[in-house]
Amino acid sequence: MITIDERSSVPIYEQIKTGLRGLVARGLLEPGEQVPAIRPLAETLVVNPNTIARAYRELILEGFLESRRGEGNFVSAKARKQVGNGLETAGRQFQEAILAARRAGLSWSQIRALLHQAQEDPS
Amino acid sequence: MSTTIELEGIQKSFGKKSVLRGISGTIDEGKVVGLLGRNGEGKTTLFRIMLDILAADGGRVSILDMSPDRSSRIRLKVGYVPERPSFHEFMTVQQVLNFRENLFPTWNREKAERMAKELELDLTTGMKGASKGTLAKTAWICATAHNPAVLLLDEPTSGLDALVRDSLLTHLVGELAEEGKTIFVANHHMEELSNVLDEVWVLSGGRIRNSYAMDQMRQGACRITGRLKQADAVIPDLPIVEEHRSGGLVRWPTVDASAVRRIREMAILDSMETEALPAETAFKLLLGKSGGIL
Amino acid sequence: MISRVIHLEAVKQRKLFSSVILILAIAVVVTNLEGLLRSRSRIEGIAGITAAFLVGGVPLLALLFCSTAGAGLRSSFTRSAEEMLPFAPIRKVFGAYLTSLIYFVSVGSLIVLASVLTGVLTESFSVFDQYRYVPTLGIFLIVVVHLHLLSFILSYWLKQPVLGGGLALIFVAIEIFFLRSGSNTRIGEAMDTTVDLCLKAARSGLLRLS
Repeated sequence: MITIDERSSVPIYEQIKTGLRGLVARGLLEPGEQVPAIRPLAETLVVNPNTIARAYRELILEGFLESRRGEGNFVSAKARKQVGNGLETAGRQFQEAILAARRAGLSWSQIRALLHQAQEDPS
Repeated sequence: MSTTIELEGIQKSFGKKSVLRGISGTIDEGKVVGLLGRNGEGKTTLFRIMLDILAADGGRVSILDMSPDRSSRIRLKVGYVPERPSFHEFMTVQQVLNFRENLFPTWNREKAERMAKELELDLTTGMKGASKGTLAKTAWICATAHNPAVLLLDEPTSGLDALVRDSLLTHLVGELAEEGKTIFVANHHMEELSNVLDEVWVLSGGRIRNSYAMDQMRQGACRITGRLKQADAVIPDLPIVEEHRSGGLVRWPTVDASAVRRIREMAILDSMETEALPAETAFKLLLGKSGGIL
Repeated sequence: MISRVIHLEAVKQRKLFSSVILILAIAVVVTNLEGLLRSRSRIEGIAGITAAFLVGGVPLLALLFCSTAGAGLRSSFTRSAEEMLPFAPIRKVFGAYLTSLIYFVSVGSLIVLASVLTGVLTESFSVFDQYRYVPTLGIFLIVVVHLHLLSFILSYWLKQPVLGGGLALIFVAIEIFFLRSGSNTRIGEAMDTTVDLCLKAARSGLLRLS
């Protein structure tokens, strides 16, 4: 489900947020569904529960999650739209990266090779 | 947020050998701090002083507003997993737990039994010739069943097989999910806790050489490579852990989140590249260098 | 809390206790058999061995129980298994001492009871009646208690049961020696007679065996 990239310098809470958004984008988590409770998720990932709590807090503030007292946290209805916007941003960022690579001197075949490499990478 | 643990200038010598030369640091409530240090650096000595088992030669300790006073009240409120747990050989696991139930007023029997089941610990196992796994699991229950506010863990997963290690780590995180648990842990494989820690202290030469916030370390842990514009330049105050040079090529590992920016500003390198370092490598680096830098 | 410590120490020291009881039982049985072989009365056989135990055994037991208890507290194994338990070291020491005292008194009482039943007690110490101002039985008890306490302390301090016990014995022997030849003639005389009569009682007891 959600994996933490050990090598990444991105803060853990950020990775969790991205992970959750990715799940919604891929349709593995639907609006209205409950997200894992903090404690079991922390235990599974071996991550400080406070970190997960922070990720959830921020997602609630951003409107991606909603908290139902006594029940837990659920994906909000707006989540899909947010993620849609997020996908747009990610796509744009990718386009910018291709442009920068071209300017730096990478050929198209080199760029395709990198893409291929990324696809092959099991992570 | 209150300060749960305060250490100030703790000193301890054994005969002529000076082991702790002034340990200072504070840990706030609910924080998880890792103590990184090689074997023989004094981690266990520090724990024993904090637990009021051993008297320090100098300095001050305060845990949950209690100072060591040769009574045993600190040990009632603190959970401890020693480096090599041992129990009376004539007891079984059940007897060990029963014994402690009578000693700790806050002992929770249901919790102890539940944990034994989750850890797959057979309560009838005798302590004589018990395996490392059994000892570690028993020690873990003994340290947590009485719901102490502070946990001191000395190599809790050392020598254990992967499955037992996983179980214990899961339980450690579970304990954290309880309110306000403060954890101070020494671990050789600190990387298995890298996502749980708030801070890391590096113990070396009898002192806490450096402390790092884990968030900063995660962001900053990388290796900077490049070619020096001036091949034999001497550059003082580099925000890195170690200097590696061959010819003009440099490989500079760092845990400083601002190192990349600062070195870029210094404009001393051509073809500068950075490569993120995993937690394990970062910890190894910190251990290797006897006097880290910011 | 103390009761917990005593309970723990009782289990730890039980091996010594059961061994001693076993030895006593065997001794009684053996002397019985031996007595039967030589067609002497059973009572006489027991009486003999009891006297020996009383005068020689009791101090020795004091030594044994205490030195093992004292040194046991300091073994590295005990340390690692017990040091992090929430009782203060002073309570642990006290509890260990109390336990060894309880064990010792139990065994001692058995021997004393046997002595009373077989009449050895009064016989051994009845000679002292003429010396009414000398509470020799009292002195004997004091010496035994002293030995008990001292061997505990020394074994604890030195971490060695044999060394601690041995030193305690030497200490007490020296004490008795000095008290015997001390300036205060009354006490000196009292000690003198006590030791002599104890030895006499032991000898007569042993003689009865043979």
